[in-house]
Amino acid sequence: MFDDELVTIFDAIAVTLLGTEVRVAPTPRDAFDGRAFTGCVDFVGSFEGRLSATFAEHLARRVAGLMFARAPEDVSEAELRDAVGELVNIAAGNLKGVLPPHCRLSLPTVHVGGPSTANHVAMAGKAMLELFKEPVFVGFSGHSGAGSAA
Amino acid sequence: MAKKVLVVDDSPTVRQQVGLALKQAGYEVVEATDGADGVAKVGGDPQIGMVILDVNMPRMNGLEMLETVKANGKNADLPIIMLTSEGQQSLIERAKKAGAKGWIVKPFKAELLVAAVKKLLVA
Repeated sequence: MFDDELVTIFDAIAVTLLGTEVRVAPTPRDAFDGRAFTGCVDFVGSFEGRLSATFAEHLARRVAGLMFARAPEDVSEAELRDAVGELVNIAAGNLKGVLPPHCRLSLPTVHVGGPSTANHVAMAGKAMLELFKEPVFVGFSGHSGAGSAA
Repeated sequence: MAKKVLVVDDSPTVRQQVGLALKQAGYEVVEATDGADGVAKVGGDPQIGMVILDVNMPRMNGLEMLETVKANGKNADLPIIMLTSEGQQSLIERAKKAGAKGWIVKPFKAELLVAAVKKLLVA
């Protein structure tokens, strides 16, 4: 399982890009009952899977504001989606380093909604984090793929 | 006259972050949204003195853009730094072979990027 790697990666991203650490903390049941944004990147090849991270809208907006050097309320939804997608993209790239070689990353996608509950059969890791005292749920599902021969 | 740097990344977030760091360091910044756009910008603006280039992009990825740009002899001395979330050795070696001068893995510290740009633009 890649739980520890996910925490380390997201902490490094938070420290470098957002100026703060993440904390491991349980995700409240109602954390994403309001509007939430989930960014996803797929892995294809020697490892087939998906990394996703879910942020409640107000956290996503705060993060996007920091990344765009603007007030959160001035960030457009397109910019908010891009910021979430980029965070997951960076995490996926870093995670790729600990996966079998010869796997490729998709471009990030972002949807409005909470974490996907599908594919838990192939869960490879998860991390329940706190960023700026707000929950972030990271899910990683997958398995070695058909292209795993070097 | 400010040196002109082309930032090629499909993410507006990254273009904003890189652009802001470079502008604060005194550089003029031009943006491209993917490799094909980047090739066109390099070809159309002789004032571009350096390129910061993402790898994973639609339409034409960063390695393809690097190889296309460097295939033109006019760009032999154009410094190109890859800025990407991936640190896979085979990709780094392919980029080096194609003429990239550096590889910075995201998340990046702005001062590290600016230092790399300064070093290559003075060289």
